[in-house]
Amino acid sequence: MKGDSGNTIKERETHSKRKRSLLLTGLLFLVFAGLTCLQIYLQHQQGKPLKIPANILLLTVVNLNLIVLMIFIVMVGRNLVKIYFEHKRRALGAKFKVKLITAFIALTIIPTTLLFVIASGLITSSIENWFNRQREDALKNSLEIAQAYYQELNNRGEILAQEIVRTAEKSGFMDRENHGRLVWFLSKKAKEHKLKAIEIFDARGNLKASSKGRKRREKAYLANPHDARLTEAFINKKPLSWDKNRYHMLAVPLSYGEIVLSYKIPSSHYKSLNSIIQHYEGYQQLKELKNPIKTGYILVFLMATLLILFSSIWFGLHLARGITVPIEALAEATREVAGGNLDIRIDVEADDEIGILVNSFNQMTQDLQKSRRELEERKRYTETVLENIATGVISLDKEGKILSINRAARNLLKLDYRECLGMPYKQVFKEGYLESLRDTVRKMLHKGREKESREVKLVTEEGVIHLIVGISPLRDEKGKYSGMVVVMEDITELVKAQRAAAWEEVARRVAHEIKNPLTPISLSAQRLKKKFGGYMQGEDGEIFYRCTDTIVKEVEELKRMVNEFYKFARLPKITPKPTNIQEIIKDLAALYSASHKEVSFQVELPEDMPSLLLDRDQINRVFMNLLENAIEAMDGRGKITIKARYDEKSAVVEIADEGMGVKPEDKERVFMPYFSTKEKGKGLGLAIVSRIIADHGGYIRLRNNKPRGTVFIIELPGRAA
Amino acid sequence: MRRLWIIIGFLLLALPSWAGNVTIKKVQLINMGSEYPCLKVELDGLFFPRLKEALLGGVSIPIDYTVTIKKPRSVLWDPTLWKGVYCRVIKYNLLTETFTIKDPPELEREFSDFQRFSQESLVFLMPLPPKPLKVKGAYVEVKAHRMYESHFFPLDFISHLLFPSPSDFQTNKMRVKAHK
Repeated sequence: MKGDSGNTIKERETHSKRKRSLLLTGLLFLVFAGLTCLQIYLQHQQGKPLKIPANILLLTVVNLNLIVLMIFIVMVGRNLVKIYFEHKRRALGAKFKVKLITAFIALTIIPTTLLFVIASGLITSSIENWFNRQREDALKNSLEIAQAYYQELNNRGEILAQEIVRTAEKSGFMDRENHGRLVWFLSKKAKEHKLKAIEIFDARGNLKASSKGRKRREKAYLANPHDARLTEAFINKKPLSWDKNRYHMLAVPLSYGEIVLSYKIPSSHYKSLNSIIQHYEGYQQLKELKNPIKTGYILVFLMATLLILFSSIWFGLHLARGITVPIEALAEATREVAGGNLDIRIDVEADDEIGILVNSFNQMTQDLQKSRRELEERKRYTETVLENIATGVISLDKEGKILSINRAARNLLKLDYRECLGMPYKQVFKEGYLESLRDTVRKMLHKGREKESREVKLVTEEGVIHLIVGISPLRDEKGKYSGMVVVMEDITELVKAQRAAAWEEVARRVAHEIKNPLTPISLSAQRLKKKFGGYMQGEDGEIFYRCTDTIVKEVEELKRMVNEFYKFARLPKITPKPTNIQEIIKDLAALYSASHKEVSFQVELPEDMPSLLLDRDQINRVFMNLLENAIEAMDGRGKITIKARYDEKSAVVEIADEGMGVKPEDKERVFMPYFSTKEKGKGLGLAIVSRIIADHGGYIRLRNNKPRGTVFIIELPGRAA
Repeated sequence: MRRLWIIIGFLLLALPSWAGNVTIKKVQLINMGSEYPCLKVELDGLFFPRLKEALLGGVSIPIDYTVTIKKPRSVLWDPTLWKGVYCRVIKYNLLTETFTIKDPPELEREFSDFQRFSQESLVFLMPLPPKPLKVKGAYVEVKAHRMYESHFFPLDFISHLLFPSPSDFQTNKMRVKAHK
């Protein structure tokens, strides 16, 4: 599996390591098989006498075999321990490995155990057969025959010895003076009875007479005068026989010494006797080693059984690894894919179905990656469009949780992206100013999940926002309801414009309708005063003058008011020229600070602010109106802060006072004509300001100043001159 | 698992008791002052029934005497100054019905009487090199054993351990001070 080149290198190393290990194991197995064959061959040869080099070879083979078996045991044991721990921590593939190995063991253990039991039984019965009764009886009988032959030889020899001694004594040959005759007699008897030698020794072990005469030399068939056996025979008064090479010696005790007869065993007899004795002794020796030999053979079989068993376990392990490693890699890769990592590729070399599966997986991830890229691109495009449109769009899931909210909606509702994503709309729209929106959405959702739109008014600190909220249900391909899309359009400016236009129309008509009759009324009152003033005397004249004066005065006042109204309705069209706002503000601040000593002005203006295309007179009027308003709001005492900033898009000027401020409910009406919170105010100042700013394509809004007062924010389009 | 270890432990403890219980009765250094010092070892219980049966069946019984001259050391093991193995073979001739004791190098003694043979078999005199015996604090350690030896080590070793030959035995180690 590879996520990067590092991983691939590691995988390759592991792969080559595994290959090396497999090769080594195969080699070890071959060595073991070869050694076992050689061992069996050498063991077969053991029946014949083995030479030293063969023995050394056998020893080497057996020990090598054991070493190989040990290596196998260590390798298999290590792997089994690994599997045990993998199984314990529930590693992927461990169960499969255990199952496969158990299957292999189960398949192998039955035939191998059967084979082991049969082979052990066969070898046991075969070894037992070596020591069966018939064989033992036959060997025993042969031994008894051999022993009988010796016994017969001894018996005959004893009789002969006694007869020789008796005859010699009777004939007086035992006397010292007849020594020659004794030698002759012994020689004669030896020849007569086919003896190799007859010798007589005295009690001290000195040779008294020999059939070989005085010229006796050291020969194998002659007894050694210092032989302890002669003394033993004399002391025990019991004949004693022994073998000396091919000669059988028999010492028969006499009252004064002993007589020794030396037989030469015929070569055919000698060979047979030797063979009988060797076989019998060998048999006894083997009988002694029956159990160790039997156990040895059983151990050899056990070794072979264990080898087969371990080989099968190892093979099972190898097979399991061959299957589980790609499966593990697949599972791991699937997890990665589920986690969103589509860069993952499996790097397992296999020619079988697993290989096909791995290739298919790699192809699938590649396709998925491609599709995801396309989807992401499309999504990004849609998001970009959504983010950049002026209409606010909010998508809700079927539980009413916000899935997405675009920038326009966030700006309109003054919401933070992180705070509202995934949250229920009821919770997000809990702020006071959003209550109306929440209620609207709730009502529309409850009404029946159909397309609908309503106008909603949001009262914020900065003013009233008018929205057209439209709701469309989202349905999947089966038509099942899956959520909602809330679309909202800011129509505040439109409402403002509509209202302003309405007011203008009203003002124009009112001015026209009222202004026209005012002049005849005034002229009529003046004519009345002029024509009839002289006729009125006293109290009546006083009342007449006062009334006509009042009519003329009030008509003039009404005229003035109507003129103002008319002016508002017929504000001249703006004539944009390069205007430096800084200059206007600085001049006005200087002017008003001079006339209002108790008002302090703080002016913060950027130095690099360019000249903008504005109607200087009208903008001047805007700032004058706002400054006068601010001074009046503070009762001519306090601090006015004027700040301006500029970016490529717009110039923003803020005028903050420390007055009484504007109530939230009045914020919407502040810019309406004839709305004033002042006793003597006509309510046209801010309406005119708003109109001029609107004519310049800008916006004006207000917000509360902290700790007290109001801040008017003017935003003018930043078209540099 | 614990049960298995107990069984193995019991088997290991029980193994020596399968063979004969032969011990070294006495060890003595003789002719210490002379040029040819000797070690006299006396065994006890050598002719236990299974060994006697094997002997009378004609099996030659080689008995190995492992003699070691060591120098004592307070820590770890005692260093070996000299080590030798003497092999005495006892045998019964089934035809002549005589017993033979064959001592190294080629001294052979024959007995018709088992009593005398057994008495002689129990005592073994071995020559020792004089030089290592003169080392201060040196002592001689001796052990005798009879075990079927095979080239199939360790397979046969294991099988002998599990099922020893009935006439196998191994004595205790006995030591005698050489330098006083």
